[in-house]
Amino acid sequence: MFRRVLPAGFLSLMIVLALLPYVWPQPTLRQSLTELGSTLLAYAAVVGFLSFLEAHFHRVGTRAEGWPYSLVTALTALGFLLLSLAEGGLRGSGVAGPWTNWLYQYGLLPLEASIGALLPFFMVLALWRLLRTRRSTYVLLFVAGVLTTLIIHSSGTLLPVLFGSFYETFLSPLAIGGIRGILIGVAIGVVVLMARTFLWMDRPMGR
Amino acid sequence: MGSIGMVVALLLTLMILSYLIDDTAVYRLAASLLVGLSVGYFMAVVLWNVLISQWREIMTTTDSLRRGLLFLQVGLGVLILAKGVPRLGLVGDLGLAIALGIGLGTAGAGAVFGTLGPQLMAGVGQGISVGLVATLLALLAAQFYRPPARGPVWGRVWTGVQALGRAVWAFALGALFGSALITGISLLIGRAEFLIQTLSQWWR
Repeated sequence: MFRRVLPAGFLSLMIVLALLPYVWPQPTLRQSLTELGSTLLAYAAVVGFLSFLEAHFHRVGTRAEGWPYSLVTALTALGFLLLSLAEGGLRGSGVAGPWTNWLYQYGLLPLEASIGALLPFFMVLALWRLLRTRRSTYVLLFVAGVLTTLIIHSSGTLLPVLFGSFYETFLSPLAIGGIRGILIGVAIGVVVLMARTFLWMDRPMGR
Repeated sequence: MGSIGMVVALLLTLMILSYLIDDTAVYRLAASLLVGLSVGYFMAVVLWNVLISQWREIMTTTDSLRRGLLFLQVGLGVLILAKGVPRLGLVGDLGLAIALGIGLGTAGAGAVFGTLGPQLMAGVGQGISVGLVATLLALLAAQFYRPPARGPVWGRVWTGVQALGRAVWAFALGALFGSALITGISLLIGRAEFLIQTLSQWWR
């Protein structure tokens, strides 16, 4: 009983404290809570990182399928972190040291950009599969939305000029209105989740 | 250093793009490097920008109130670290409760003051328009509200309104998908440009 009530009570109290600066503007309180939030997230990231390393080294230890990739992943993460700590300790530069900077510029950035470059292939393939497996009015409207965006951004062609007025008067308000509706729906969902957690109707921490 | 870096960047780019031929060991190796480097970089930023700077401030600050506040933050952070030790379950739960509470409170306030307020004002501010009708239809399709049953005719009307709302969702999500596709195409052009420029420099 005590083990359940105490964390749930702390959770509700913290929700009230986090909301307080928005209804009663206190810059000092808001700054303190922001600092506290970022500190706690940083410690949570440390726990997550240790769990990440444990999971990958466990896969290596048990020789699970694809274990060499786990070894590369864990060693790369650990290596980068130790390198930044060593550089920071020696030069006081942290993540802006020459070696970490080199790894970021010639390792991480090209890898991220290349994965991003694969995105259109994945997306077109997904769209093709969707069209093959499901043929409904909603799918056709989805494709219409995709084509509208592509047409309106096809600069250098006559298409934006031809569809321009129809897009401005009907298609653009339809898309923006729809996205606004989705955003408002998500925001209502977040507020409901917060209220349910505050009232102990939901227990995000289990037990 | 720079030319070695260009060779490394070129090799990593080709390793990732090899996925277009097949899902090979080369691609998986590059994907593993990407995950490892991303996690390592994230942790380095967290350590240097949050934790180490905080510990340094504790050592150097002369303001006793500030030092007490920093010690409190570190203490609560240690509670979260205790979450990793199963025997200290309750202590860890307290730290997690504090982190979750602050996160949920901030997200809720952000949803009310950052999304709900401005979006409602922007939607209503246009008056009766295609955009407002689309917003209302999209909201009704989300099923936050279900009117009481009042006969088959009302039921059919309600089903029709929801179908229209889902149609608005489909079109809006399609438009978002199209925007993401354009971003991806821009990245693809950037990578192709990098490959062509690097290779043509070496060719000369």
